[in-house]
Amino acid sequence: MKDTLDLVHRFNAHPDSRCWFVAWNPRGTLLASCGGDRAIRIWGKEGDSWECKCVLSDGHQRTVRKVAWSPCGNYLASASFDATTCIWKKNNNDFESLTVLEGHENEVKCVAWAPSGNLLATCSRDKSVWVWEVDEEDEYECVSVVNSHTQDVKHVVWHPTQELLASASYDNTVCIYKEEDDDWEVRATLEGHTSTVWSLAFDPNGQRLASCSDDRTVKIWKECQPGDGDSAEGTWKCVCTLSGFHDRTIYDIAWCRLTGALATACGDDGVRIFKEDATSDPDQPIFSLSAHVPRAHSQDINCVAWHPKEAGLLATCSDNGEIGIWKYKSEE
Amino acid sequence: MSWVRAVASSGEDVFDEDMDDIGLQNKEWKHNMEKRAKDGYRDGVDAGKEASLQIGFNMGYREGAVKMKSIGQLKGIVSALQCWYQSHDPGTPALSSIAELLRRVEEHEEAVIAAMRKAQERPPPSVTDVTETMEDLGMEQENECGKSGGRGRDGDGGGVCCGKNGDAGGGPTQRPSQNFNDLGESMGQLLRRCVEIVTQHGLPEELKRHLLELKAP
Amino acid sequence: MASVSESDDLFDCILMADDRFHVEGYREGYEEGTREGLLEGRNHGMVHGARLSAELSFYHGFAVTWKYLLQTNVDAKSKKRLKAVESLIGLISKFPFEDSQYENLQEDTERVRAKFRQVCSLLNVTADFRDYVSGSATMSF
Repeated sequence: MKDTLDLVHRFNAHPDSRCWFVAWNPRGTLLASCGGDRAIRIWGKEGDSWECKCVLSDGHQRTVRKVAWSPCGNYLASASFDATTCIWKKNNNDFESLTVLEGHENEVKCVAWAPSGNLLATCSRDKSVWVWEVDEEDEYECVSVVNSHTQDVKHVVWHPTQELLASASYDNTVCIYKEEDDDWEVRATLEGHTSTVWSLAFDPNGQRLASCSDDRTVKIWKECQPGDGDSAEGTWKCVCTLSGFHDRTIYDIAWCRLTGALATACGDDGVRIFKEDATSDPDQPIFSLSAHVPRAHSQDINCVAWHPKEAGLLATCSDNGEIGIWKYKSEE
Repeated sequence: MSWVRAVASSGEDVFDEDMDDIGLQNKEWKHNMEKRAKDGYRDGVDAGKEASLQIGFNMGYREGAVKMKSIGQLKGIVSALQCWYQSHDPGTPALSSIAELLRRVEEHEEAVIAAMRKAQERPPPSVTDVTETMEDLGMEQENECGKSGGRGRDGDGGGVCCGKNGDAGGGPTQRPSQNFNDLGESMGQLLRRCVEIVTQHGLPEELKRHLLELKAP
Repeated sequence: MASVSESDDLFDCILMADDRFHVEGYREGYEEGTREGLLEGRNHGMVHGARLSAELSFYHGFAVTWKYLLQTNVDAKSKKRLKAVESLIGLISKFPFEDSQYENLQEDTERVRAKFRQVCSLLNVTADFRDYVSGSATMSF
């Protein structure tokens, strides 16, 4: 491995609690984190270090599990175990709570904005996925509720260019959703993992989907095209499985928009970067382990996030409440 | 059978000894045949049950579903009215009549369900003569509905297993003797009351028409 | 099976007698078992059918009422709500939920439940009401 992954900065973000998730804003100037202390923190770079610009501590009554920036960067959504999703509006250096989306019966596990900025998806332990629409007056309305999974839904992610949604669940499957007649419906169910699917990531142009699981593998999925042999259109098949690389559950996966590198967050406290072989067939891709930091944190790593503007910059966060900033260098 | 030999050696008539022997054999024969019959009966009951549980379930399912349609709808209607007023006119006196009606509707629904549950859970008294004369108490344990495969495909995937509640009472169950007729009358009253409220408060005509179409089971 | 000896005949007689008792017992038992099975099955089926019907009929009555109430308004918001409510009514109407053998029973039930939750969200039906709904769907059963 000639490629390297080096620690640039490490700091404690959520004292005495887990840091569950980190998300870069679209311009890459801010990093939002959330944790078991029920707070959201906004971090900005000041010279060589990271400073906490803002703390949002009154939004939720329980753990904040994930945060997501709107495509325009002016809004932040937070998903909490208190069964609500809060929408925050950025006001200079501060954030105000705009609205609270209720409806899920229990813990909300994820929230994600569609690239258009008009739609939001949430998912919950109540096994459902909700799609919300936001209008010009910042009013949020539930467009669809889909009960497609049979267990806790861990993650939802939007396709980078199309209006297509994917969800990952404790029931070992991934569901793909499309809108049909003003209602969102399941178009495909991806089976293959043998345990909980924790997270998902689309590749930069949305042709493939990566999933990571408690079964310690990463799977790459591709939608079958017309003329693809015996597979019907609209079905997805697994074109690659990365196994034997992770020693524990893989909690998160991120696909870099700039370099195409895949990063994983693992319960064995390690961060790994995978690179796709340039010569491999896109229908049968080959990924190899490019870099690995075995004890990146002293506890489980919950999240990994590529910087949207600076190639190779990566943020991680851990059960020990820390955030790590890393620099990945690849010799092309 | 040493006592037989003991009798024989006491010097009594050999013919009498044979009689005792045959008598004993007859008793044994009778006992064995009875046992065969009981075994057969047991096997028969199991087989009969297995064959009919699903059929019975399907019948009952439809019956139960039909029974609840009107009361379920009425509860939905009254609840919707409550929501409507709570958001559009929270101070209205209509809310107290609606709340009262809702309470009565719930009570009625619970009564209907309770009657069904009673039939389901009632420990079955032994009814047939055969059961009563059964010496082999193993009869009671024969309710292993895991054999029956009577799984209804209802919403929550709950299985049909009469042993589920630890209900060890095997044997035949009594016919549900609850009378749905008196419950039917109060359903009519509830519907009438709802129509009254709708009329009184100028609620949509179509709603009244819909209520009038709801039949008591 | 050429039975030649006397003792063979004797054994055959014993076996046949054995069978006959068993068969007769079986026949009686089968009738009884069928009666019991039908009854028990019916009692169990009734509770299950009633539970689902109570829940779905509740949604139905709820939706129909809102439909009539919303029809009187013409603003855009009410139109959206009306559309969702009518969609829910449509789902329930085409759903043969009293048929336990209906192959899409589970799927359609989930679809109706999901639609109901969405409708409640659009109508701003309060959380405690929703608790009541889910409570009543499971409470007495």
